[in-house]
Amino acid sequence: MVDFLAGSYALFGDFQTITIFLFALFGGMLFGAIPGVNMLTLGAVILPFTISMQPDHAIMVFATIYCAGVFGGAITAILFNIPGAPENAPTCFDGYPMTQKGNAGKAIGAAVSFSALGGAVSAVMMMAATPLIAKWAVTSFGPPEIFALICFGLAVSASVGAKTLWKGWMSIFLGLAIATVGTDPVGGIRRFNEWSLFGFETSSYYLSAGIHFIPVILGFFAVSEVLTQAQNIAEGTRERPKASMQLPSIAEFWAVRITALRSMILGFFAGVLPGIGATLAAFLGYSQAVRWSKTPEKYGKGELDGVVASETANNAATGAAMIPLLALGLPGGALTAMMLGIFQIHGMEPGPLIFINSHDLVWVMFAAMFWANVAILGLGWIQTKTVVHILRLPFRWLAPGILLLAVIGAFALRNLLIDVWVMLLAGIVGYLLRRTGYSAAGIVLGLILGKLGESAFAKSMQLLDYSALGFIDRPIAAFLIIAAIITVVNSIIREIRTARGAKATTKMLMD
Amino acid sequence: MSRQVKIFAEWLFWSVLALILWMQTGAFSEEIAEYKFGADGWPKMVIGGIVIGATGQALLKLLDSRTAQDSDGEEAAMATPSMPISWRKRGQQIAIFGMPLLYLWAMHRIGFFVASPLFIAAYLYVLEVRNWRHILGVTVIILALLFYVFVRLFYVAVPVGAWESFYAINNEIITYIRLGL
Repeated sequence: MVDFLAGSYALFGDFQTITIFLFALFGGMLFGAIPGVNMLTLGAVILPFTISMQPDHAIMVFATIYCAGVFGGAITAILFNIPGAPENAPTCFDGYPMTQKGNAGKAIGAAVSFSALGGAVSAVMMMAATPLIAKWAVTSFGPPEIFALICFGLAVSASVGAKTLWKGWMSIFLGLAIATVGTDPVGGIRRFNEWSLFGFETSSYYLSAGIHFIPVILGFFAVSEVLTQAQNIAEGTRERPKASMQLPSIAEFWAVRITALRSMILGFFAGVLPGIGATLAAFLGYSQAVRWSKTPEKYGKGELDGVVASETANNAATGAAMIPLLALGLPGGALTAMMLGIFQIHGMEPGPLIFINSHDLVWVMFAAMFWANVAILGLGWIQTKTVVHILRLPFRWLAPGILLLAVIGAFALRNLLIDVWVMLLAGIVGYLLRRTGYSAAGIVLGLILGKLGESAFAKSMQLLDYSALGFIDRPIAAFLIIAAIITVVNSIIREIRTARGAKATTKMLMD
Repeated sequence: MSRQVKIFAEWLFWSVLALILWMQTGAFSEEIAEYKFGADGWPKMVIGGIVIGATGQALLKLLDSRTAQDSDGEEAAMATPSMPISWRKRGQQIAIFGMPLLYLWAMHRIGFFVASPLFIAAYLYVLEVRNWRHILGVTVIILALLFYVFVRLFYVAVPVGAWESFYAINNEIITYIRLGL
């Protein structure tokens, strides 16, 4: 507690530090909310300037950007169905339908509150448990456990956004297949770069870099939404969403307490594991909310619980992501890798000794993350009151702007036009998927976890001497694999029961 | 289309996709010294998953095909009486999909700065904005915001065009936006 107060005092003790903190906070929220740029863009832009900063300022800036950036992407996900970052994708499922129903204020209000809550609790848990959890998580989670966790994550998220379980699985397999384009993770051999079909041959050098998930996300969510709404305009069936300012009530907050708690725990543990982080956390949080709900059929149609589940989980992962970085020097993602760079620039080496050698600096970082989440609550409510007014603009005016934003975002990723083409194709495919019941989110999840999953699988096989039974000898991997199998079997049984139930109801009605 | 035919068509789509992908794996089925399954092991496993998933889905649907109510709701959509669509509307629907494709094709050649104003104005027209003041105003505002934020503030790269004269024009515009000359 004394350490935390000292960290907070260092943070707010002078005007310059407060200014830097606020800059990072606004910057993170802004960059997180604009598709095409993200917190990594901001991090990359300001990284060179951190050399001349004090070490505690530099680390504080990045910690604050991380918290604010993960939250920022929820705004566009809710208002326009455009997730600012992959971890905000599940927020679209219920956030955007809420906007269409005229409940944008409620959705953003819930996102703000539970992002802040998830992030703040995660920061507190991080302060309390960094050395303990880090040691356990990183020493106990080798490639077999990571692979088993990915299997479990895919199993529980299979039906997210799909009409049936089968369509959910097919979507995930399609995502996994797209993820194999590029080079293989062991030998670096180019895959699916050259295509040969019935004498027609083509190849692309650019495909060796693989298909990045950012253009796919922009296509599935932003472009397909524009195409759908544009078609509705053409058919004269589009209803303009009401720009409601109504915020969630205390009773509504209380009603989602279990979902929030569950997502906090899931988000925190997913966030601890390097490389998995906030995206899987958000999907797990959302899928578990659907699974344990008494009214799962309401999800995807504008359920407040869905927004809460996703946003609590992804923000809970932010604090947790710092644990392996600080305790073992293992960055879990690009932004934490930049933070590792800052530590090294300033002559520090993250690891168990950092708590002894740079004790004050670590607590400034902890305090920054905690206060950033508290500040998100305040600033987010102001943001809710203002950004909802964008909905008052006619969609036909916004549509070309959204498309251009998506084009810039896709191109800026690697300065490749092929990414823009991928985005547009994903948009058209996403438009068709909406009509056939397949899940865009499932494809995205398969694409994101595919590369990681293959790499973990290959390492596991080498480690376990190509014996699948080797997974069973490792308790955590065995537990996760068995849990995944039970989840799949349970889902299939439930699917058959639902189909039979529908059949019986139909028969009864016909009689 | 009957339900059985639809189920078969869906299964066929996935199976053909899986077959095409499987055929392509031949191009990289190289052995890797330190990894027994090779570069094509994982893709083949995923393709197998697609085939199993598609077959499972089709079989379950066929077993259930006597169910009057389609759980996918696709039948309901099919059953909705379709209104005759005028050629004008049909053209509009094609333009909604075609114009972004045309824009990308043109952007590669004439650059972002030349293609974008034309695209915004044309897309607004396709979306039934007929007031020329609105078209002009919205085009200018979108471009001003995007150019200021991305080109001037963040120095984000955008395509400058492959055709020589347009390449020069786009670079002139970038210089003007960034320096305000």
